[in-house]
Amino acid sequence: MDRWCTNVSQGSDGLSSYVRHVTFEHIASWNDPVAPGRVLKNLGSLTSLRVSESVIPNELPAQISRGEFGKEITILHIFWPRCTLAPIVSMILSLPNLKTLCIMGYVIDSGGPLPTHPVALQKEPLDFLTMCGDMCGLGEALVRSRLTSRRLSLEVCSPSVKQLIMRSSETVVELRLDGVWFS
Amino acid sequence: MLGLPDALVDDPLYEVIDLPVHLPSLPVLTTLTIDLCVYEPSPRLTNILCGIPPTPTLTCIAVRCNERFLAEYQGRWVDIDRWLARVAGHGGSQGGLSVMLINWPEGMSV
Repeated sequence: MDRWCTNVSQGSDGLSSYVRHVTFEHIASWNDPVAPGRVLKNLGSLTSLRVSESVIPNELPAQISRGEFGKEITILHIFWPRCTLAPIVSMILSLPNLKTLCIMGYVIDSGGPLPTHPVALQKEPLDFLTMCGDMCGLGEALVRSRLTSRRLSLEVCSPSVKQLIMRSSETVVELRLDGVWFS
Repeated sequence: MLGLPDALVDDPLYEVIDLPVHLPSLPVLTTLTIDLCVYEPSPRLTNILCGIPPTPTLTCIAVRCNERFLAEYQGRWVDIDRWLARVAGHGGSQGGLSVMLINWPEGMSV
């Protein structure tokens, strides 16, 4: 990983000029929590980020919030995260131009107080918000942050499904309800 | 503000959460997709649908059966029918309302 980070940062392999999508997959821990941010900030064409069964270190949203990178990222997928909810919420709220957000999985531990600041830089609603699973207060955090979307895809068992619909009531054009059997 | 239909009686086997549901108007909603795991909606889904007020801009409702689980048809569709009738007949879905049934097995009637 370190060597790859170095290669990317030096631009010696040309990666930084054309990589548009990055997936972090099956990463249970980071030896250096700054490493993922160090990779991403050298990818100037990056528009899509997927975190699958991996940890999101607290440093990653902090780096984005400081403006080190992330302005071009419009698509964020988080599948079965291996971390508490706090860095997930911070990650979502830190991306200023997010358009598509897809979250799936379960988180039991909130990891402390969740960020509640409004999505300050997001002038427009999301194009698409998908939420599936139980994230221990994620929906409520998104509602409190005034995040809205034009298209919503929600699992009915989510405790915040109604609040999310209500928050986006003025903007939602397409609504998909996944009616799970065990409510 | 519209509430639940009076006749909505849930099967005692199921738990209904957060009654009643009151959702605000959805003034620009054009498409509603309902994914079912079984051949009938869960009480909670029915609850949420019944909480959606008439939506004049709604032009398409798709009801998709995922067939992940099998269950006996138990007639809960009468509540959905009532909701559809209310949505479609409340002055007006402008330009008509289409309802699509997707991925339903042959011979299955709703």
